[in-house]
Amino acid sequence: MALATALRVFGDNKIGPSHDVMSCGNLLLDQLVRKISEKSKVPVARVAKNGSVGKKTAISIKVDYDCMFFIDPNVLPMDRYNEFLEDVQDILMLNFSSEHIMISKSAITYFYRGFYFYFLPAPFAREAGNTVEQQLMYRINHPLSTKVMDIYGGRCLGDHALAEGTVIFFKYNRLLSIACKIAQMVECICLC
Amino acid sequence: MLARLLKWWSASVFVDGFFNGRSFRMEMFAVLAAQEEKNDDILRGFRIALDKIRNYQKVNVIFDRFYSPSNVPHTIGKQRPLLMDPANPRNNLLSPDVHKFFDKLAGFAAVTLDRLDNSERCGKILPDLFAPQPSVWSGLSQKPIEESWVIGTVSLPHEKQPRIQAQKGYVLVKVLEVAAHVIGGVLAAKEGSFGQEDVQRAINTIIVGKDRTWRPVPCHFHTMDALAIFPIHDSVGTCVVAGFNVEKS
Repeated sequence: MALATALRVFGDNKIGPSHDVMSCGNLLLDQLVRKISEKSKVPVARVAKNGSVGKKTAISIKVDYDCMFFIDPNVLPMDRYNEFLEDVQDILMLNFSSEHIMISKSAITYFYRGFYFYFLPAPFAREAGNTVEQQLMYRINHPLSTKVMDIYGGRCLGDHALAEGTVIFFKYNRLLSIACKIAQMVECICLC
Repeated sequence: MLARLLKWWSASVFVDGFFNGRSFRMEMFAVLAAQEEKNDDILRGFRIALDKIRNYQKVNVIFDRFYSPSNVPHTIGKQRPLLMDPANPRNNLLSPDVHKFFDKLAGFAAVTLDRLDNSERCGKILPDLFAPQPSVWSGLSQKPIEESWVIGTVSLPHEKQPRIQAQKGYVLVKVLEVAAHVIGGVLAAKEGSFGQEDVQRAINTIIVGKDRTWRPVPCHFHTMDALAIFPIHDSVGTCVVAGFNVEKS
């Protein structure tokens, strides 16, 4: 029991990122995303914060931001994502700083004021509906052609759109865990 | 909390080349453990997760939150071990290409389970619980040159977390950043704040592998191949910065 408590204290004090660090990173992300959405030549249908920050599993020694920009494939097909990425690169260079920008076939890595930001375009299915779950279910049931492949590991670029599902999955599991705790508390109270 | 604990552990063990998706896999092992540990017992959850990593070959899980097993292509569904991405029916997180990494992780998990037993006997976190494995990270595919290390403190208010800054094109940031993270973890786990001597000691122990003496030398950080930056998180943004050159293989 003592070790369990010690682990929990260690987790709270040492492993989780501090409130200050997260506030600072969130603020920077907000500034960057607003500017990209405002200046992008291609309309952005939706923006989502993914990765460990989205899942609330980031650790203090490694806080980085994965951010998805959902784009209607009828406006910009996936095989032309390089146009969006180059556009984002220009926006970042002109409005923030030109250091530490790396562009790949599927993403932009940007280091800005102490944080790594990964900006990834992903297809937005206009016909699916606007909720995250609708988008996700549509994408699962309509797998994208592997014509546009990620150079890393042969995964389809469109699979990036599914990453948002893992965020929901974690939120769902966390809610489930909280529900279990409440149920246990209620049970305790009833027994008392 | 369990996912974070497991990711912290993962950052303390060296598995060369395992960069993409490693944290996500740790999170999913935390989910597996949390499904078995319903009482929010962090210690038991951590133990279950490590045990599952140790026995990763036995994992066979499809989460049905977003899709049913029938959505998984047959070629993927018949793979063993199987740990399906909860949102992607075409992504087995334990596909054959990561087995070589998990074979190493399994060995490290077994060691940590033994360390956990020792800590439990003492009723507190013993210093070795999250100590790096192996103790010396000599297997980095791009090694810092031992004689090249220089160190100092600099005010860099924007720096927020341990990282590597490449100053030459041939520096493999991803390779070296794992070392910065493990040193960052060792420093963060210390009671109170850390200083330059703690960073020197951690570099000696984890990267160099011997008790190297640090002497004053006329040298500038901007001439080095790379910098390892460790923010102290004080009010003026002090960072301990360690510069080094790398083997250019």
